Amino acid sequence: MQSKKSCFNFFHTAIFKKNVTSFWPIWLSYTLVCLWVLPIYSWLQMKSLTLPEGATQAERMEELLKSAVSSLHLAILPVPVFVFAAASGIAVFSYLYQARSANMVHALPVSRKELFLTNYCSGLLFLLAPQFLAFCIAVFVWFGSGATCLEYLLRWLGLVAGEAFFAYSTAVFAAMLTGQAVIAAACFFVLNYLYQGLVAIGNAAMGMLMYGMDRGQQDAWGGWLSPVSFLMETVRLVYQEEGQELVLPELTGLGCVIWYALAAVFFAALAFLLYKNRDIETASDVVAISAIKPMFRWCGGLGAAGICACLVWGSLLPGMFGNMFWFMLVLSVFAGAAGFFLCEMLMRKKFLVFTKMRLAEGGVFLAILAMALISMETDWFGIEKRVPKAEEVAGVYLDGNYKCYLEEPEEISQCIAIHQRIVEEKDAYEAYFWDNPSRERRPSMALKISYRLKNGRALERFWYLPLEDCYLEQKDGAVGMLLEFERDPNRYMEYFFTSGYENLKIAEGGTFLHAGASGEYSLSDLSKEEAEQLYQAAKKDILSGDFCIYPYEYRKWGTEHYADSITFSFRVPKGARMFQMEDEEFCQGKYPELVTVPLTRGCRNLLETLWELGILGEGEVPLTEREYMDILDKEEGTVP
Amino acid sequence: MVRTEGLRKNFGGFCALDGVDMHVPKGAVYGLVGPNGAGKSTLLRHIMGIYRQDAGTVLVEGVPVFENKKVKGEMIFISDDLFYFQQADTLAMKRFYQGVYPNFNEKTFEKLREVFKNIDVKCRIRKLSKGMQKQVSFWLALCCAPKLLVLDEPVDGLDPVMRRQIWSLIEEERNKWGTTVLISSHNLRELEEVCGHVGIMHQGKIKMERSLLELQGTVTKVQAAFQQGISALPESLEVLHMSNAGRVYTMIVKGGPDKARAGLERLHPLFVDILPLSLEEIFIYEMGGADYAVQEILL
Repeated sequence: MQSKKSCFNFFHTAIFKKNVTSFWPIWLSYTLVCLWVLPIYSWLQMKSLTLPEGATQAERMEELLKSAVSSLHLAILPVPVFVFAAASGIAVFSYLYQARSANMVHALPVSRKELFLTNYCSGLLFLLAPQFLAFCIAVFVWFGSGATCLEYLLRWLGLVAGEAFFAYSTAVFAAMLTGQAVIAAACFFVLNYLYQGLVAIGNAAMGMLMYGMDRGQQDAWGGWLSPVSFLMETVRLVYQEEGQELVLPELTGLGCVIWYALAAVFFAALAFLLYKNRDIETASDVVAISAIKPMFRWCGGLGAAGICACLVWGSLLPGMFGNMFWFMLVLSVFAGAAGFFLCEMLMRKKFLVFTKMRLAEGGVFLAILAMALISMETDWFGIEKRVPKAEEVAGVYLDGNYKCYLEEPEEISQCIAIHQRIVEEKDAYEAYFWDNPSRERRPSMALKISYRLKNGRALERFWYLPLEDCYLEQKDGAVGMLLEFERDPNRYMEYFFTSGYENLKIAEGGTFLHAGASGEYSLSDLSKEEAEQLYQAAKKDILSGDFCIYPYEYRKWGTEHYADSITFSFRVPKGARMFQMEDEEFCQGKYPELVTVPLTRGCRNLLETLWELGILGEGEVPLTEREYMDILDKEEGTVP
Repeated sequence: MVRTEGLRKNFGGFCALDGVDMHVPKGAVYGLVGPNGAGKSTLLRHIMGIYRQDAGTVLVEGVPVFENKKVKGEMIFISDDLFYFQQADTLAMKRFYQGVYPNFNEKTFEKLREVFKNIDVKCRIRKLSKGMQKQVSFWLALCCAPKLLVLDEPVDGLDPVMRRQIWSLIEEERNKWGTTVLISSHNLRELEEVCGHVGIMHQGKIKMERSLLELQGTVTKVQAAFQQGISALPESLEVLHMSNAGRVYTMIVKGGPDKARAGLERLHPLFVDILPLSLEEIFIYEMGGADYAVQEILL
């Protein structure tokens, strides 16, 4: 009997049916997830919506729609899509992971093209069909409840379908690289975080070995190469725009899904090519493609070296900033060799893998690893010594005791001079940290200089600098130069009240945080008028030059800074540069900003105003940070 | 029906097939024998188009088999390591085979229910015993009316009655459709009963490939008794193995029975008897020549 075999050339109905019946737990679970996160959750949100009495029908509908759209926040999370995409991709090709199933399936009169396309489409349908079902039911739920806005649901469908297409194609690609389901899942995870991991290891290595590099530096450029985290950050519901609450939340960041969908086409095509050329005997092998076996060994070695060095450094030697090159070299080489040969053992499924060829390859790997570390330590590429010329620089963020932005050529030149001096004093500073490994015994401060170059590129350096008197008093030394340079009233004002402080208006008052004589803190609200008076007093103190921000670990910080502080709520014009945030930010001008100003011994006007307003008792002087710490220490000592 | 020429396959650094030349005539029952690790299963997987060869050709009915749907549609493989889908029962597997094999015959399936009546068709196949699973695989395979049936250790796990039944079903199939059967097995006595052709494989090569009749004519097992024992054997007699119990000598000599008898008659024996030589003995003799350390179990 000639059986009914296929619908069209490259799709095999029997295999599709087999997939649907064999892997029902996957598509059923995903269907339940989709139903929960969209129609059920939306319905629950809309059902629990409470409206103020007397709301008009129009207001009711608006609130209902807002509630429906807001409920999408759960449905746009990419994690379930990626988890089920991995499960589907690996499941439909799971026959490749056991010799007997691989042999059985490839003995059938079905071409690899048919097998691939049928399995690929089956797995993809396990994701798309539940999404579409959830969409259809959500349409009924929304429209039935009165939230008649299809656009959001269509956008959601486009988003999750695009994510599913990308995640699933990546999972199938990962499934083709290996011969074991667990390794395929691990590979999928690694592919999603490979870039982040490599950047973290690279930055950590540079931070540990190169003077002036930040160990924990984050790379902003390639965020899209780590899709799960990128989608989590990019695709979101926005409730406000320029400080104004939107009538309906906006679903933003969908543009990237198109690019991911294009990448999915690439991964699917690559997976197909790999499948066509796959050797079936690789079932249960860790790596199924011979060509990538060396890459696996090298990546394993590199990863082991990086992770091991970072973990040991981070957990056992967190406070070490000095020259630890030999430690790093030995540790990395040992861990690298272990990682390299461990990967080989995994691939060969035996412990004795030390053949002449592999030992030679391992030697080359370790030599290259060592050379890379030596090149960082000895600054072969001149990265440590690189100091930009003043004419190259458009602006600089100087983030020491406080953050400021320098644009004037003279200021930029001064900053560059500090940078130059730090580079020159590298040996002395490294010796300082090396000789005083205990953090308590070596006061220090962190300094970050971020240059914006005129060619559009950026240059960033990060150092720890010693804060002992001998360094501070040395006026031509880097630390002395820095502290002298930082003592600028205008920059203090900009730091606290943005670059638009001249047009500042107190918004809604503020708060005063006061430490009492026995160490207890009390918070009192300030009226707009009080805050206005206090702001003027603070401004006067700062601009007079009496106010000074001392480094936290410098001994004067405890004696010059009071434990009290004032928080102001203020408004400045749109576009004013703000310095209280970690990243570069500008004021939107629509909503009030908040800033906390610490009281110091130099705040004479501020103290007088506090006395005048009765916020502080007449003549009461706040506790200094040292006095406050002493009280706390004493209290701790008395606790039975 | 099946022809391989210069077939080579390496797994990493290990050479599994080292230039295999093999020919299975159409309609024949071909037994592939060889010690463990000789490469029999690897060869069968190439013939089934599962593995891609490194070099050489694998032709089934004159055309390359790899990725050839048409040819593979007329071939069935019963592996020693059976695989069934996770939740599948016999009926589900039948439906799958029906969808995949163009010649699947529903009537044959129903007809064979009588033979395999001990199998609960609604029970998950993976829950069945190994022997029952094997029966299911034969049941489904026979329904596909294959032109080539490739069996790897086919009757392992089957009880003697079922073995007999399976062989008779295969024979019936062969008579009806002219099916070619290629069997790899260690059970040489069983092969001897069903095979017309034998290929002996060792270290990735076919050492010898002949019809069973031809093969049995190449060596002879002979028993002779002498009054005074034997002082020297005639030069014309090439003795491969000899043992004696008193005056009675048992020998395996190269050549046919007539040659052996004529050679021994010259020594004036009390009697000369030609004994039947089993496939097992031929296999062990051949393998003994290939440094396969089993000579001592021969006689």
